[in-house]
Amino acid sequence: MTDQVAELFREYHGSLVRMLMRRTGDRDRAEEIAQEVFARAVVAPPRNPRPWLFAVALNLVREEGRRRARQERRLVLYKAEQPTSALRPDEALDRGERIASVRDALDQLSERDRDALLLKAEGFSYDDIASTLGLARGAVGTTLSRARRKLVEAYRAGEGAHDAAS
Amino acid sequence: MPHLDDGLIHELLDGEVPSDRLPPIQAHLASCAACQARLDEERELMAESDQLIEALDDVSVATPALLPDIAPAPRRAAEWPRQLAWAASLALAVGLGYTAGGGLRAPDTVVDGLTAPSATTSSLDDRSAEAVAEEPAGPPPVASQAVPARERGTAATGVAGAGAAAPTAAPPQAAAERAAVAVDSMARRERADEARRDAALAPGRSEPVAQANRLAAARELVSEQDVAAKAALAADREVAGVAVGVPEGPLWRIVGTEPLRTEYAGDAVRLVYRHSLGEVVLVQRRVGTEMGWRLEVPPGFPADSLSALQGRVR
Repeated sequence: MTDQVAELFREYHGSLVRMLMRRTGDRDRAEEIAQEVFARAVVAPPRNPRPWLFAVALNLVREEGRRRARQERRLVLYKAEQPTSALRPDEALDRGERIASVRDALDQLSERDRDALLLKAEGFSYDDIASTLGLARGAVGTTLSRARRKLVEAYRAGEGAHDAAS
Repeated sequence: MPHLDDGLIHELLDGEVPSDRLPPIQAHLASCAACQARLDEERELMAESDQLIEALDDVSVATPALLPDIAPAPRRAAEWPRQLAWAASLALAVGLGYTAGGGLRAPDTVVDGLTAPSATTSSLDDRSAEAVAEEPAGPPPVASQAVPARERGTAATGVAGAGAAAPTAAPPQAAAERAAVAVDSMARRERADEARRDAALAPGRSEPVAQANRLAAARELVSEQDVAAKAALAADREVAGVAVGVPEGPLWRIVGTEPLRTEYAGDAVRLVYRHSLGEVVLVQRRVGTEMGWRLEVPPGFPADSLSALQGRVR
């Protein structure tokens, strides 16, 4: 079993955690969810690990999101971790604001659009995105088109509002 | 042919339109300025969207010390300039001609000089844990997608560890990170124990006790693996500090054809070849004193000519 876990880790852990971090904005959560996903994969090894792992991870994010929504507001990551940055404070703040703006824009997407976008960013093919998210293959292009446009427009709108306020 | 809709335009730009569907699309684009303009507009939109996603990985701001295992992004599509993506989409139509003209003669499945591929074609496993209940049940054809750079790094680490590349003396920082990981692991193990105890004390819950125990044991196992993986990553970074950059000595190549482009991803070099079935990537990475390699091919490659392509890597 250890070999199986090691193999799964080698193949998918980095990609899965990166996707989860982009999705949640919180590295600790990303790590914890990834661990839970791999634990479940150990209990019931999937025949097709990649879509399985990512589908389960996204389901856990959704479950946890609903739970957390009742309990607390998520902290903005860059504020918490800014002291560890090697950047100058103003530089770190600028970059942190950009990350926060992108995350705000990403949060405005529907879950399906957001997940499709993040899976595509992990190198998923349309076929893999379709199977992971339960979409028809023919709907993936439309989904990604809508997701990309929405993300860019929401980001631009946020930046516009920010500029107007400052 | 009607105007191209947004979905088709993105499918086209992502290189996901099958070659047999391309001719009428090409013909329409050649005669429709409006669709051509839309194509250009969407190409810019995609580039901007990719940049925004990658901005989330700004490790200098958003991540603590051990983040290198999840950075940088793989950018399979993003590494492919949109113009090239479009050009390559069109080129698919002549891919067979390329093959007949002395390119890659026979399609192969993954050939691996570093690690074994995980090639499967089966459906999602519906016997798995409860979280899968919500997951799609359709049969997912697996794509042997390019493995993100960091994964390749970790995969190769095992090989490097067996060879001469594993460091013998870790710098203090790496040791401190490993210690931090160990502490983290202890905390996680305690949580796993706690979960197991909770499960044992609450047999009336929907999750059966046996299942809870199996899951708790698995969590512990995964936690240990996580520690091992991070320790390996810390060591790998020390190796990578030496190995990053243009490799010394000649690169492996597929004889008889020229690469479409060369990419540098972390400490790996990727020679990308065009094939009628998609891109074939010869990934190479320093392993000890030599360059290890592996081939990545698109899904759907028949396996019977594996040795033919492997034999052409020189």
